[in-house]
Amino acid sequence: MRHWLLVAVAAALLAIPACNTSHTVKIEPVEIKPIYITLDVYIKIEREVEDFFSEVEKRAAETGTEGNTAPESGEQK
Amino acid sequence: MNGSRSRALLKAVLCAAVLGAMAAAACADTRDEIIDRMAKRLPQLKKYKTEGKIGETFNGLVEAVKSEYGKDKTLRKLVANENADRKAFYALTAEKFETTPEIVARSAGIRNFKAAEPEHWLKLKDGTWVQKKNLEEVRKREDEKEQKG
Repeated sequence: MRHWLLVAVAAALLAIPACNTSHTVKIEPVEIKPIYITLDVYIKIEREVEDFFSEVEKRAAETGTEGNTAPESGEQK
Repeated sequence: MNGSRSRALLKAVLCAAVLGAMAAAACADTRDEIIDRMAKRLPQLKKYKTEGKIGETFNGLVEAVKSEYGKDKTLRKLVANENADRKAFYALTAEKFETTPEIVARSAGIRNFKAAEPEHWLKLKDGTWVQKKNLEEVRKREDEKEQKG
């Protein structure tokens, strides 16, 4: 009788680790970097375009071509 | 014999590469040259814009507001030269930022729409011409249409 009791206790002790289950949930990292890079490029392009057209206007004013409407002479290139 | 042949071939290839690079450098417009030409053209372009004959397009170019205005040779040349320079700048900028000229052109279109005077004409993406002063009204109407539809 004592023998069966020991076996039952041993079996119960062995079964304890089986109750302990663990689950690993792998979450993929959210990639934000490319979005920032794209935005950064768009902002740089916007700035480059603004600088370019502002420079055209500035140079036109400097060279005194503002108000002077000489006709366009021929095709370029 | 084989060695001298391959050396000669290598020399020829190198010469061609150097000449090609020199020719490309000579032909390519610099940003500064483009600005210079556009600055000289600006007063006349502004005059036509104020007269309502030339307008800005959504994709950063200029165009005759009505096809009949295109009969004016001076206007036609002005539009062609201005667009050639703008396209050259968009290509240069696209190369610099490793993007497409179309993206740069759209950015320029937005910039030029913002900078336009109230009486200037603007060509929208759907091809319609709108005066800057009426742009907000047109957009509101379009938004209302979209919401109803």
